[in-house]
Amino acid sequence: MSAEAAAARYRPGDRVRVRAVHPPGHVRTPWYCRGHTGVIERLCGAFANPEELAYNRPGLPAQPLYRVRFRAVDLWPDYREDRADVVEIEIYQHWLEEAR
Amino acid sequence: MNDPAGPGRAPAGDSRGYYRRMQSAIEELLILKGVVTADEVAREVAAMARRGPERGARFVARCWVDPAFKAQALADGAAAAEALGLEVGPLRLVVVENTPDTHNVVVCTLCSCYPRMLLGIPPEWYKARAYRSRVVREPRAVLAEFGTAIPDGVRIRVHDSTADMRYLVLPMRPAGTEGWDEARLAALVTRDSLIGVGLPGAGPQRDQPRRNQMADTIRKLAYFALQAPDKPGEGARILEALRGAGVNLVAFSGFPSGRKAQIDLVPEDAAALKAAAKHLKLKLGAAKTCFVIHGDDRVGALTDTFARLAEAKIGIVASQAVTAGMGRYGAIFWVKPRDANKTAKLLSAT
Repeated sequence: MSAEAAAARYRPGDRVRVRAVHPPGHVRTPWYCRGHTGVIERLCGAFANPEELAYNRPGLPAQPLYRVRFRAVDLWPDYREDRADVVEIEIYQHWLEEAR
Repeated sequence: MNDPAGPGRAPAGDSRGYYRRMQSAIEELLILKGVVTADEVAREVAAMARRGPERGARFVARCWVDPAFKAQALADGAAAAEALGLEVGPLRLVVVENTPDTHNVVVCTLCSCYPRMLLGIPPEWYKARAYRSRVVREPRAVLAEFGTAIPDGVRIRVHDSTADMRYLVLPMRPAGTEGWDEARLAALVTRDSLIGVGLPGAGPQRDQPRRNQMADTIRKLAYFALQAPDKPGEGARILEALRGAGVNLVAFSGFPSGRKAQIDLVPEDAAALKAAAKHLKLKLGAAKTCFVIHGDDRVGALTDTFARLAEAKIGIVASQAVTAGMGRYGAIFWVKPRDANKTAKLLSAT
């Protein structure tokens, strides 16, 4: 990635927690995963931050974008289907923090 | 469509939704400011309407016959598509493979992100709140409603397309297709199987390969005729009055009838039209029945519907159809009153 990209902090298999914050604006992190813990499935590259792009700002440095895998039973306490089911969501690095 | 009141200001009684008005306003502003031209918008809309799921089907068929291509597809979907001659522009494509123990399904819970360069315009249900909110919470229940049963012990991976990636499901090659060539295999690959709500060559889509692929909404609706003098301004007068009364029309048609003109009104809400007509002293005829179709625009859009009527020996009294832009079309048709219920049942009209 270019020098305009933030360095990737996570690697596939790392456990991460989605920040439980609710800023206004054009946010691409779905509400239902905020505050939940998942595992990095892959790094997709680095992309200009859509929260900035939406307001005609450059969105740089580009944010690493990950696919994070969550267990459906972790997202939905009342999940009634197979316990092995997962939901995978694209999340930008600035929304993630290390989970223990 | 240009708003006479100018960008951003809806004329009084404008019955389009808020977001449709906002979309028109933004489009007009982009054109006025020279960011895009009306011609470019029209060309892109036409190009979008031309692309369909057969592109994705070709991609999958190649994966099934060529292991090296499949490996490339799983590593870099967009590069693989380009290698196949499918132009995909800036698309970043993640290909997710179904296996005997994993089934993939794609959604965009935030809006309607969809691999349009490979599948064309998304179906209405993909953009609907019901699909977007439910498939992440109860995927098996949703898939069952599509006629797709996922066996116990198979894990479901739901892919929420929230950011820069787009997703294509690589279904498993159906058993019994050994030795088939790519074209024959591609014909098994339905749009729904590429989203993950269906399976290739299975379910109701196999019996009706084209019919269910882009389901039209067919509604049986009441319409009301009224007579007006055959002179300039009558249509405008009546529409103006209905707009002022907030009556939303699904369809409208007018034509000469003897020495007068007949105007047919198909309201979204018959009671609202009747109340408004009473107030406005418009003399409506009795409620009669017509059928209105909305669907994804494509070549031969009406053909299957009319063929089914023909098979059932139902004659069409009159019909009009028009494309609606943005990849959609609408049609209206009338049958003899005695055929109305049979038609509704045959076409599963709502």
